[in-house]
Amino acid sequence: MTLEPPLPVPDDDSLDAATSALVDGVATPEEAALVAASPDGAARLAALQAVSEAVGRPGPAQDPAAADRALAAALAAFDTAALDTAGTDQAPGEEREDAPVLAPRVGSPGSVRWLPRLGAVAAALVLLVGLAVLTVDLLGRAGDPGTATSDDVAAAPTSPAAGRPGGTEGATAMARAEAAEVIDGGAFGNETAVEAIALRAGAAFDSPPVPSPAAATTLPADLQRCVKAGPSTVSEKVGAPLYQAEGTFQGIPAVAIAYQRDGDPPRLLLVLNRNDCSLLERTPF
Amino acid sequence: MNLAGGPLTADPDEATLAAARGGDRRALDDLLRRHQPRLWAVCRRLTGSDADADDAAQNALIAIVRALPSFDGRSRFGTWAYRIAVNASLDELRRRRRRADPGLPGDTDVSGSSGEPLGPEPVATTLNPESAALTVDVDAALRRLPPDFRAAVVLRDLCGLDYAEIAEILEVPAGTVRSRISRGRSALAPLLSAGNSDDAPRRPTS
Repeated sequence: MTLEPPLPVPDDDSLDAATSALVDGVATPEEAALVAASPDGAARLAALQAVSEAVGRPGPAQDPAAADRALAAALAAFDTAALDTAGTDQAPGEEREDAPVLAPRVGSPGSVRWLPRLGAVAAALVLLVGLAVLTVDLLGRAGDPGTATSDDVAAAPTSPAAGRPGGTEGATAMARAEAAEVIDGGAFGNETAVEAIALRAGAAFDSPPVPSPAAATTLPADLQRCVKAGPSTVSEKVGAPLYQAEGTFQGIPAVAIAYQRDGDPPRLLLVLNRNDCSLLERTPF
Repeated sequence: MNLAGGPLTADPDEATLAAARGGDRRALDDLLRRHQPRLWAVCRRLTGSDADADDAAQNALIAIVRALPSFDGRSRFGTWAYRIAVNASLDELRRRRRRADPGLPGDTDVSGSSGEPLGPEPVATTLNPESAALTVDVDAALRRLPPDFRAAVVLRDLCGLDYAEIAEILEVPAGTVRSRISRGRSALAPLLSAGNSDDAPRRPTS
């Protein structure tokens, strides 16, 4: 394919400006007189009128299926926001800073069944933490009386989310349970090609890194937002997030998130602007 | 074609908008369906491709939903929605440029742009103006126009917005809008008027 050069844009010209204003019906009497007095006036008026009519002609209509997908994605965003704000005083559409890492897309298959299952997992984790605390407390009392009391244990924060607005042990446990399903790719440095990030992600899937205890915490709020927002930045339907990494892409602070997708290859890597979660680049891999 | 739907009066979306902002999903559905075709049409003209327009329009709809609580009603909902669609289209063009091979002639910005780091889109010369549909000719011509000028011309001639509304959408003075429309039309004239002839008098270019 050969390429044509860009159109040269003319300098400001009083006759063209007056003629264009005439086309739009906003010309002053002086501008109308200028066009009328010019030998080129009538030809310019016809030419610019033709341009205006050509650009104003309706183009092709959108594929109905694509239109439906777009509408469904927008309504899903509304539903997700409504879910996020349920029980709070937030307006629909506002993002919650401490939303779970893998908040489900409403309307996605299994999303209704997903909540009770995670709730059960969270409850089990809370129960396990409670038992562990109780055991430590009892052992502490038996081995070294006075070093720890049940009041101390009860007052101590049990998670990074404790004490944050909306942060609860259950939410943290839920986020931890979810985070365990996502490969933490760490930092990818300063990349300029999405393919390089996809290669790193592919390698991580081939030999997943061993999760460290420190990794099993909630993600920063901005990353949570991007993990949630990722699917809505593309028209293709994607599934659960599988991988996330942080870095700089073409000089922009970015997060790379891989999602399941239907098709071959089976994963879609999105590189999102970390500041606003807008899509910077994408590639299936 | 005028997509604006009339002069600047009371916002025809007012009631539906209020219901949607109150959490009425059906009202939101109605609101988005009402505006979706014209938003896609703008995205289509600005991006020049169905696929990019699909992505841009979807991103715009989602952005509208997310920003709805912060919509202050100072402009008409339609104008506000156009602004989001234009920004989504420009974002899509930036992404397309990043995906394109480096070193394309269209990668450099042209004079006359307002500092927007976007140049005109490359266009295949294999396109035969004689046989191609007119819509393709318009798309091809628009793609060669710097996006700042393209957006102004499209918002005026496709959407029928007045200069003040376009100025609000593009966040530039109305005088700049007037200039961009005039210069953009003049640049397009040799391609889109009188059977693509070069009969129309040419103006000096910067």
